[in-house]
Formats: sequence, structure tokens, C-alpha cells
Amino acid sequence: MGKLMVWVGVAVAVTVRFVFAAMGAQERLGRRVEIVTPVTSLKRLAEGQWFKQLGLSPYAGSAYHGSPLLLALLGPMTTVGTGGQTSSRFHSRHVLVMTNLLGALLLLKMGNLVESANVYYLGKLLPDSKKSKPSVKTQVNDIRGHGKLGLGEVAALLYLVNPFTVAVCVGGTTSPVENVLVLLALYGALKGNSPLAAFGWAMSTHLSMYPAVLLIPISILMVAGPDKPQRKLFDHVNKIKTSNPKLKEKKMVGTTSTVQLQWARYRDFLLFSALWWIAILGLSAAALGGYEHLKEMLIETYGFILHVEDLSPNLGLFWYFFTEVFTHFRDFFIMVFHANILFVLVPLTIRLHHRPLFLAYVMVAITTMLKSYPSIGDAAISLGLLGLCTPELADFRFSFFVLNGYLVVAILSPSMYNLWIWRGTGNANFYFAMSLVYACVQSILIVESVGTVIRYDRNLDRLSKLPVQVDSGAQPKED
Amino acid sequence: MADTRTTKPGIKRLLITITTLLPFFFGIPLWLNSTQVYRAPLPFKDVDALGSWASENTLLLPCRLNVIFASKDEFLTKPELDSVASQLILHVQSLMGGNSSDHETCQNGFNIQVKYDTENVCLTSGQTLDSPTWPCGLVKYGFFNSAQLSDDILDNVLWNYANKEENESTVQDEGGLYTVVVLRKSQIESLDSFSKDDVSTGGCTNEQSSICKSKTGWSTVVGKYRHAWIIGDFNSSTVESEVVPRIGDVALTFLRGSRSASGRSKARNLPLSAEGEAILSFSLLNADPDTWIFDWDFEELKRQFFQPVVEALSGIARLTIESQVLYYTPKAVQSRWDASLNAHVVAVKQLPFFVNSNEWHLDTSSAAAGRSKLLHFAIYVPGGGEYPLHFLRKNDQLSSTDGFTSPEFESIAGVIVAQLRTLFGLPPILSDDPETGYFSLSPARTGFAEWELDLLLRRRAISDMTAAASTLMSLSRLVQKLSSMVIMDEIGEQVKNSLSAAAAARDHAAHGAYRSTAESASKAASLAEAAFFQPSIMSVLYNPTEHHLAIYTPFFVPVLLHAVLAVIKEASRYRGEWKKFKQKKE
Repeated sequence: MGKLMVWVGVAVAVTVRFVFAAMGAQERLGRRVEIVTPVTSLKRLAEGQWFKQLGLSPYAGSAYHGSPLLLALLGPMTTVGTGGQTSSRFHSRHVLVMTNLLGALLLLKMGNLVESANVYYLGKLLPDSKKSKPSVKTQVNDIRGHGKLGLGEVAALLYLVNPFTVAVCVGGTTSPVENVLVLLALYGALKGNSPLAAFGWAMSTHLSMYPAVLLIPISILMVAGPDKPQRKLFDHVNKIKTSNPKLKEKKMVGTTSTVQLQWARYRDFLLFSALWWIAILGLSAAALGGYEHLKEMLIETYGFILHVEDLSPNLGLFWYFFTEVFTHFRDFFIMVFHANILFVLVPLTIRLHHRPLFLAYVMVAITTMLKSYPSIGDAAISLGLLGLCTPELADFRFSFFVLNGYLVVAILSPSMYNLWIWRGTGNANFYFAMSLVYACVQSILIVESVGTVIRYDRNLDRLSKLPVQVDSGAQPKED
Repeated sequence: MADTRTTKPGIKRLLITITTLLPFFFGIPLWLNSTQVYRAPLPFKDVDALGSWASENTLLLPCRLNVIFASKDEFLTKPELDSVASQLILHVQSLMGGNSSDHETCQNGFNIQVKYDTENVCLTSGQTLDSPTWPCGLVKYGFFNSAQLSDDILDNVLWNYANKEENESTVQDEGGLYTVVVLRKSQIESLDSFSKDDVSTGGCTNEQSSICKSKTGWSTVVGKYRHAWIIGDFNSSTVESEVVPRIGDVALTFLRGSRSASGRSKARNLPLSAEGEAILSFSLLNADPDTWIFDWDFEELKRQFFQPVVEALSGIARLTIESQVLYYTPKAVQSRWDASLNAHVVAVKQLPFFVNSNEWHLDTSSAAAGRSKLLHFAIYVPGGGEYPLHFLRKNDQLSSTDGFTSPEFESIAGVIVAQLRTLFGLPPILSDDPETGYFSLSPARTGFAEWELDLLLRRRAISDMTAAASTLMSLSRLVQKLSSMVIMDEIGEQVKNSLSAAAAARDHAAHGAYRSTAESASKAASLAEAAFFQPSIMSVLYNPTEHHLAIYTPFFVPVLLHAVLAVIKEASRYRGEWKKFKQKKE
């Protein structure tokens, strides 16, 4: 039943993409500023490819602001061959659909890993009435019940059928590629696969800069493993159990700490990161035709993102402010706007260090809100990661409000844009109001999900401190 | 919660709040760095000195008048000459003093020297001029033989004489030295002989000679260069009453461009940008190309007509010329058919609406993007449906030239140079006046006589210098008043260069070097202007210190307030918990 639902979901998602594409949605969606940004536009990538074919730097003409590696990968598919435009678009769309599917697959795998880890740690923490210790897999099946969808399947399906993901895939941007690399990094970290995690992190940072902040959650994942309740709960439970001779006999708990810190894995991760970076820079230099072009690449990619040169309207908060701000203050406020992301990293890490995957979600969501050229493609991946945290977010409070907020933005923002740009009856404030609504919805989502996770941890704390009643067999359920 | 606790209070919450607040403190140096205002040192003292000089003085160039009484025989004695000279000086002073305006005076008034040049005698009287003047010897040069010829030839003969004798001197090129040659009519042989034979015609057959056209028997001719001549009947007793006023008229003409005070032109603002640049843009508008298409060989036109003007005016203005031919350019007003005049007419009062700025794409110049002024000359070729087209004057007569001037807009029908003169503030070319015997020669090629160029140079130097001083003073006041204003090094450089150019202009003016004075003054003005309109200044002009509060507070106070409050709250909570812990231990 569950399997069938997954396959049906995947089939529907793929069909929807091709049907939309066949209906010519790419023309419409590819022009929406909510979907295509100056850094993710496939059209600009095609422009870069043209310059490259002419033997010029792809950054000549200041249209393309992406990586030369991405250009090498996707560039040949965007050029108009002798077969005409349709065939080339066909190829690039195939690639994008494949990346979406790969992302969903990664989410599925990650979900399974997270689910196993949840069962394992909760089993350690909460009193278990069962005498015989069942395997994790059967426990998982016990909890969710046969035929129900697993965590990974839910997350993957949420990601695949999310209208934002569909729109970004059909509209033709490079965000699906960036997203799948972020997922690859997190999957590798969750799995403990140092080279894979390092590759995903280095590559996604190279492509879109902001995933650099994911170094913190990835490091925690590499060192301390997946999300788990706070360590003091385990200490507490251990203390109770060791003080209780009855329990000690049963050898339910070891005296050593529950969490094994794996520094060797982390060292490998750092080493591989350095290696991948060298490889990326070397390949970029080769693609650009010399190491002297690397500086140009940094200025045109990271510099373009940091200095916010393109002030065309988008869903972000930068463009409106920097069209208005006095030149004199521009540099300072650019620093302030970018620092907003960095401000919250340390407090969040202190608070959520025991839940690195959730921390990764929060960081991705915050960059989605505060980056200079955001698109709904960024929302697609942050919502996909959110799917992995559904057990902890069971009592999320404002889901109706947030969902409607997204709907309002999705419907009103194109109409406001139309009023402003095409009909001329509105002005920039109309559209910026939608940007603000989008930012509000996202910040509510972030704040509320962090709050929910903290509440969840507190509940676990309370539950784990309940007097252990081994004989009564009462199994406290999380509420 | 219990009043005591067994464990040390956790510091996690405190740490989180502190790490939220800390980045603000890291940001403070960056913020201070960004608010630092760079101010290049400006020479305020020098600017003030220039300003105070300019408030009391104007940049005056010397004007020198050399009057030559040329005669074959001797009719004046030295005391008589001295008397004429002093009489003349007094007369010119009274003329100038009558309505002097700052723009039309010279350095130390008009210096006048009177020379008496006969075959054997060469006397000098009056003020000494600090530049070489025409030497004696006009009679020997054979001047009197050519005096009966046409005015143009006579003018050139005098010019040749001046240049032949003084080809080592540079004064001729510098301007400011004017020469009036006074001749006695009876001395001119041919006239004399004619008058004996034929009294009825006044002894004159040469229609090109002004003395023949004059009805008073006197002729005063202002030439194309820097000299004039007066021919008339006088002797030692009538020289003061007859000749002195006429010389006075000539002096005034050299000074103002017109001998009457009322004839002075009002347009003193030259249609130029601060750099003294202007673009003359010529457009040929074919209103209806279906009927006919007119084209022009503009390069040839430019070479023949405009290039000499541009070259002549090069000291006053840097003019550039460009042209275009436009098609389908309907005019904005409707003409009406006037059967009595047998023409389509447009009333003069409709002219402000004649130019169809929507459909006449006159602004195609790339240079127009700068601060250069554009002067548009549009030649409108009416379509077949409304040909012939004329402008109807207020008195219901047709305009003879069909050209009109509107601010920054010129429409022409072959009167471009005359209109340029008007734009530059010169009266129309002096009309010959046989009633009073006052004539002038119009320079055919350039449209501007050399003494007229001197006049323009004088005006330009004065207005440039005033502009430079006032701009620099404004800048200096502004900079001293607004302490938050950014002053780039570039501005300091420009101010310094402007000051030194102004000093150079004063220096040149003292030496009577017209062209270099005007050049330096214009440089000073344009540099001062450039410094004042430096974009970096303008950006901060809109941004007074009060705005800083309005810019920073909405962004930082709400966030900072919460961060600070959270730290205070957490710190007090931690202290409370710590006390409980200590109580327990005790």
C-alpha cells in the first residue's frame, strides 16, 4: 500500500512536470521573477554558453553569474542546435526532472536513516516494556504501522509534488541542481560518508555560496551523528538506571556515554573538503582557461551575490531597500543585510546542536529568507527538509496560517507584478508588499518550527524524568 | 521551583543571548568606518581672497585708442594737438562715465593717445599706451592714393599697413588696441579734383566709398579689424567741435558694439555651458517627403560658412557642429491659407508652438549627454500642401527671413550667422547710416569683426571671473557649513586649479592679453563649476546629519533593544539561580 502510494506519487509528479512543459509553461514560468533569479536563470546560462563558444569569458556581458562547471554541465543543452530550440530544451528539462527525482531519492534515504535513529534513541531514552529487544526495523514498523508511509517517503513525496519544486523544474532554472547538491551533502553527512558529504558541501557552496553555512550542521552530523534528544536526558536516564540495581541487572544501558563522537570521520570530511575545493577550483580554472580567471569568477559569482548589483524585483528584501538607500550608506547596509544570516548562526548552533539535521533545515530556511536573490526554488528545498522533521513538528501550531500565506504569495505576487510592471496602475510597493508577506510567512515558519522542536525536547525531558515503572508496563507516549 | 538547587545553573540561555548581542559590537568598528567622512583640505583662505577681490573688482582688460591725424601738410601745432588730446580724453570719459556698467568698462578707462602724422612731423600727445602703436608714415605709405577707393579696400590697406610695420609685435593678435585714422577730405586728391569739376554729385562717383554715400560730408567707418577712419572737412579750429565727438562715437562702438547707449544689447548670458562649449546642431526637416525631398551637402556648407565662424569664435566658445536630415516631421501648428498674400501663413504669436518637440527628434547628439549647451537650428521644408509657407508678423506683413529665435531653439532660413550674433549678445550688424555718415563694414566670412570679438572676450572674461569667484565662494561656504560632507581629493584639485587659473587670468589681464585672459578665466569658471557639481557632493547634500538618525534607528533599535533586554533578563535570572545554588551549599 505504502509502496504503491510512493510510486503513484512519483508518477503523478513526473507526469505533471511533462504535461506542464508540453503546455508551454516554460515560456510563462521562465519569466517569473519568483522562479528565475539572475543567478539561477537558464537563459543567462545560455548567454554565458554563447560567450564561451565565441572564445570569450562566459562572464563577458555580465549576464551569467554562475559557476563555469555548471556551464560545462548544462551549457551544451541550452544552446540552439540545428534541431531547433525544442530539442535542446527537452534535454535540459530531462536533466532537471532527473535531479528532482534524485533529490527525492536522497530525501527518502535520509528519512529512513532519521527514522531509524529516532526509534533507536527514543528506545534508549524511554522506558521499554518489552522484554525481548526487537530489531530497529520491526520497531519502526511497529510505530508507524504497516502500510503507512515512512518518514522518508513522506518527505520525498512532499518534495516532489510541492508546486514550488514543480514550477522551478518546469520554469528552467539551475536551482534543482543546487538543491540536490545540498541534499547530497546532508545525506552523506547523515550516512557518515565523508567524501560524499564533502563533495556535496563544496560543490553546493561553489554553486550558490549560501550552503557554506551548512558546514556547522554537517560537522555536527559527521561528529555526533543524526538528531537525537539532548545529552543531559541520556545522562539523567543513565544515572537513574545505574542507581537502580534492578535495571542494571538487565544491562539495558552501558556505563559509557550513549553518543560516540567520531572525530576520525570528521577529519576525513575536512580532508576531502579541501581536496574537493582544490578540484573545483582547478576545474573552474581549466574551464575558464587559466588560473588568472579565478578572481574574475569569484567577483562575478560571489561578488555579484554579495554586492547585490542586480536590483530587479524578486521575492527578497534586498532590491527594494537598495534602490532607495543613499549611496553613502550602501556598503554599510549591504554588510548589515548579509550579516543577518551570520548573526543567528551561533545562537542557533548552541540551542540546536543536538539536532543537526533540524539545524540544517533552519539554516537553509533562514538563507532562503535573507539571501540577496531568493526564489521559490530555495523554499522548495527548505520545505523538503522540513518533511524530515515531521515527528518532532507534530504539534506545529500555525500550519493553516503558513499554508495560506504561501498561497497568498503564490497567487497575489504575479498579479501585483502585473499591476506594477505591465499595467502601470500599481507601483513597486505593491510587489514589495508580497515580498514582505513571503518573508513574514517564512519567519513564522522558522520561529514556530524551532519553538515546536524545543517544546518537543522539553516534553521528552519531562517524560524521561517520570518515575520508571518497569513492572506496570506503562508506555508513555509523547504528546 | 524550589528555593534551592543542587546543581550549578546552566549557562546555555545566557550564552545564546550574549552571542546574539555580540555581533552588534563587532559591527561597531565597521559602522564607524563607514560613517567616516573623507574631507580633502581646501584652500579656504585663497578662495576667500579671490572672493573678496571679486566683490570689489571685476576682471578688466585694458582698452587703448590710438588716434592718428594723418595729413599731407601740417595744420596742427603741438599745443593744439595737446588740447585736442585732452579734450578727447575728457569727452570719452564723460561718455563712459554717463552710464557705465561693470561689464563695459576697461582697465583704467579708455587710454587714449593722439598722434599727428604728416610727411615730416610725427607728434604724440595724450596718455602713453603700454603697447606698440602704429608708427608714423601713413602718408609715405601712399595711403592717400587709395583713400578714394571702396571701404573694403581701404580697410585692408590699413590692415596691411599695420601688419607690415609691426609684424614683430604681438599686440595685433591680442586685441584691445584700437586705431582711428582721421583724414581731411580735402587731402584726398581724387575727391578734391572731383569736387572742383562736378559740385552736384559732391565730387564722388565711387558708390562703394562711404564718403560718397554720406549726406553730411563726413564719413565714419568702423572696419572689420581693429581700426576705424574718419573723413571730413575740418581745420585746426573746428577739430575739437567736429572730430572729437565722432572719435568718441567710435570709441564707444569699440567698447559696446554700438555707439548709442540704448543700442546696447541686453543679452549678456552667452548661450554656452560653463565650460564655454556649445553644439550647433543643424537639422533639415522634410515635413512631407512624399512631395519632395530636400537634401544638403552639409560638409561643404560647414566648410564654407560655419567653419570660419567657429574658428573666429574659438577664443570665446568652443563650438562643435553637427547635422542631420529628418523626414516626416510635421509642425505642431496649423497654417492657414491667406488668399491676399497668396501663401500659407503662420502667425507670429503661434511660433512658440511651431516646434514639434514630440516628432522632431533633434536631440540625437551623443555630446548632449554632457553639460554642453545645444543650439538647434532647424530648417523646415513644408510639404507640398502648404507651400509657400510664411510667418505672418503682427502688422500682417510677411516676415522677410522667415526665421525666428526661441530659447535654445533656432529656426533658420539663411540667417544663421546673424542669429548667432544675436545669441552672443551683439547687436545686428551696424546698419549704414548715410544721414549721420556713420558706416561699418561687415566681415563677410566670419560674421564677427575683430573688435567685436574683443568685446565678446572682454565680456566673457568678466562674467567667467565673476562666476568662478562666486562658485568657489559658494562651495567654500557650503563645505564649511556642512561638516558631514564628503570632499574627494578630486574636488581639492579642481579648486586649486581653478584658483591658479583665476590668478593667471588676472596676470594676463594686467598685460592686456585678451585671448589668454579669456581662456584662463573660462578655465577657472569651468573648474569651479566642475568642483561644485561633483557628484559625490550632490549625494551628501540630500543627506544632512539628522537623516543619520532616521536611517539607523528604524533598523537597529528594535533588534538591539530586544537583544539587550534578553541579555539583562538572562543575566539576572542566572544570578538568581546562582544565589540559590550557593545558599544550598552553605
